Amino acid sequence: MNRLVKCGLALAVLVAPVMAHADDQDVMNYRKNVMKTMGEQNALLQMVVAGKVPADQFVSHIKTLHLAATQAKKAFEPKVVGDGSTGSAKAEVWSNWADFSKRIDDQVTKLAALEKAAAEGGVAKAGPMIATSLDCRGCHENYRVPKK
Amino acid sequence: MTRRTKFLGPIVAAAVAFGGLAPAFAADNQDVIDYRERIMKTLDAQVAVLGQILSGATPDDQVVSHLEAIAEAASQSLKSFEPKVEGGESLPVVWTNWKDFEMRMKDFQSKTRLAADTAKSQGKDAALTNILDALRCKDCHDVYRKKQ
Ligand code: HEC
Ligand code: HEC
Repeated sequence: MNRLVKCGLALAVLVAPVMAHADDQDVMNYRKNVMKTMGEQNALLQMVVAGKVPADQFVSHIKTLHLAATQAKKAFEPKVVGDGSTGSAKAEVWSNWADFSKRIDDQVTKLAALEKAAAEGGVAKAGPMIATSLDCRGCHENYRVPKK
Repeated sequence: MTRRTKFLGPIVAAAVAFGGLAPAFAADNQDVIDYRERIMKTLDAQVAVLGQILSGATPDDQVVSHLEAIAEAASQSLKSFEPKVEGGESLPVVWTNWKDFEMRMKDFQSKTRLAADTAKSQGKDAALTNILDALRCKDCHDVYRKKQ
């Protein structure tokens, strides 16, 4: 597809107003939307586990969380340090890239195992694995500017 | 939800210990509303990324994954609206006009699934040509969601 067509489609597709074309902002939006996806689907699977909603979409929530995790590495590759307002990724993401990217890889691996367990045995099998399968807090403590 | 309660105890304890839950809120109706809104927010995040890709602001190498995540979240949507709980941004017509709402959701689900499958089998360009037809978010919102 050529760029013009892509632009036209994008304008039509976007429900939110199109951001100004600041490249750094685009980079931050990408990874924030990937993380937002993880945040929403994690919240959904926690609701299932807490018995707040039926469990019939449990596997789908983990699958979507897993998918979003696979999107994270590419989204963080461009080095754009956040200032805590428009973005909140610390400079350490890139100065410690080996550790950061390994954490993402490990997160993906653990979510793949969690998804498999959920597909096999639902909440009963995957539920007890959740706490040890998620590195959200561990990574945020090291690499994300804390919320004020 | 009673059939699940027998094994919920330890799982809830584990989840609370991990800190993924806010154990304070238990308003059932709010849970139902949160559940559907978080699914919609997942769609929003992944469609925003797709919009950025279409406008050329973000590299297109993860299109398949984003389409897959959209299809997965779309597949979660219908179930989340089944409990008749008015509120949030939903208009009462969701339930008084359920047949139409359900038809739109199923259509949305099958078209996004087709887009994801097409991307996988024929490549991203084949899937993106028709993508607008799959993402008729606004058509549904115009009828069933409170005006912003
Ligand atoms: C490998 C590190 C890492 C892992 C693992 C990780 N995150 Fe993040 N997350 C980050 C960083 C860094 C940011 C800040 C991104 C920015 O603002 O540019 C962030 C931001 C977020 C945000 C805020 C997004 C926004 O709207 O600005 C949410 C929500 C989130 N993460 C949820 C999660 C959840 C849920 C998990 C676990 C399932 C998780 N994250 C796992 C590194 C990680
Ligand atoms: C068949 C109908 C339907 C389709 C299709 C649909 N939505 Fe929605 N959406 C709704 C309804 C109804 C609500 C209000 C939910 C509530 O708050 O109770 C909503 C709410 C939302 C919200 C607000 C959630 C919040 O924060 O409270 C967002 C964002 C959203 N939709 C995004 C999307 C996107 C993006 C798409 C397309 C990819 C989409 N929706 C497709 C019916 C639909």
